[in-house]
Amino acid sequence: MQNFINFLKKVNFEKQLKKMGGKYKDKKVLIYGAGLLFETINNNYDLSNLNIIGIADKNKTSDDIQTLYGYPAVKPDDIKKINPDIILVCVLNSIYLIEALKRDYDKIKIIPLVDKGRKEFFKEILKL
Amino acid sequence: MIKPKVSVIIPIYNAENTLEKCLDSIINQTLSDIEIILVDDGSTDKSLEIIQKYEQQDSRIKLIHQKNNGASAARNAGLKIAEGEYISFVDSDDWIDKKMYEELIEQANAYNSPNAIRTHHYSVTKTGTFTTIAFSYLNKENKKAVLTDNLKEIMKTSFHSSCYGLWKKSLLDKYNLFFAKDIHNGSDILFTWQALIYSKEILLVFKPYYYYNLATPFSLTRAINNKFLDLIKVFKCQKDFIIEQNIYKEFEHTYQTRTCSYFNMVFKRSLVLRGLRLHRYPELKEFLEKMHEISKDWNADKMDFENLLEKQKFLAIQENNFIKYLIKTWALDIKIKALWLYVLFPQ
Repeated sequence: MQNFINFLKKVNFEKQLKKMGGKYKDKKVLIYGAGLLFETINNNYDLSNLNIIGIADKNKTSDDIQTLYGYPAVKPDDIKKINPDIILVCVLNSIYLIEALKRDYDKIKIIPLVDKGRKEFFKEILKL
Repeated sequence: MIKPKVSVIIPIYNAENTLEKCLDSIINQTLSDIEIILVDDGSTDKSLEIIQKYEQQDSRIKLIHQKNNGASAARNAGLKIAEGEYISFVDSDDWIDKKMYEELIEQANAYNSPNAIRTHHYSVTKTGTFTTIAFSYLNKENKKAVLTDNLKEIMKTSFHSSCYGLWKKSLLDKYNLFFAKDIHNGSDILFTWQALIYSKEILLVFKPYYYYNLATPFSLTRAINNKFLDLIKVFKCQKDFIIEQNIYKEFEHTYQTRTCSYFNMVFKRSLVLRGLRLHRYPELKEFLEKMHEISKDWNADKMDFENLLEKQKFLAIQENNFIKYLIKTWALDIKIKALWLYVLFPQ
């Protein structure tokens, strides 16, 4: 978790969060990915200015689980029913996942939750 | 003795990593009236121990052992002893929804026991599980299932694996349908092609039940030599089959559309799942050349393509232009797209 904390400081996630709060003020936000990165963000940052209507994660949602970290748990199959305006993908290497999600949910805006910067995205593309 | 409703046949070869998940999903089916046939194809790892353990705990399980002879021979061995009304094939690295057999048999009873039932499926990759729409059908009234005899249309886009649904045993017996032994990769494609055509009527169920695993390293799709050449053989056998059945003219464009889209899918998957491995490229080039030989006199205007990109890919095949085809496939397209979206113009 400490690695993530350092990483989030390096990319100035606090500033990114403020900017997103303003930009997506009245939009319904769905978080995709409830792993360690999200846990770190949830513990260290204030997500209250984002209107988060649920968290989706294929590994952590099932019929028995109602909430994840205090937010409604959403099974990936139910995303269309919930109808978010924007999906923020909370995974470190998100490009492949985002492109794949876009095929399933083509009308919804899908972007990474954390902007890791040009250089890191470029490195990820080279590994694709 | 009353026949079980479903016989499940699972060919197993060195599947110790994924076998328990697969078997658990079958023994815990909500429909208990099933027969479970496990065919060990000469495994050398812990698979044998695992299946023996399951056999002791569940009386519905039957074991067959054979010397390593391939998945086709294993499935055939299972078919020989199967007694169920319907047959289901499950691969040892996949798993199924616990209500699969209950719901499909319910639908089968509602539609007077059709010869073949086809469903959607889930594709499981390292980055997520996605529902794959296995056949396109304008389900305007949003029904759960539809009985159709419009094979010409459905088979243009329906998926090729013999696992995504159920087959009626009496149909397989009537036409003596088995998996081709001399084809190691793709024998199930040929089986599905023949069985669907023999079925004449298919029950389409608009729900996924089967989890097709693309994430584990040593699955059936991967560990084979001459995979591409086998597929070319399958394409040729499919054509021979419809000629034999005197339906070539009727099914010509269905066959061409389906073959082309399967070729594109295999090619793309070979690139995407394995990354840029240079040794793959000569094999893929040969695959494209062989596909070019088969398809050079096909009429692209009479075939159905998902979009313009797929049509352009086919035209590149007809030109035997490997580089052009490569550029138009997913692997390079996503890199270009990602470069554009994430690096040049980030959020």
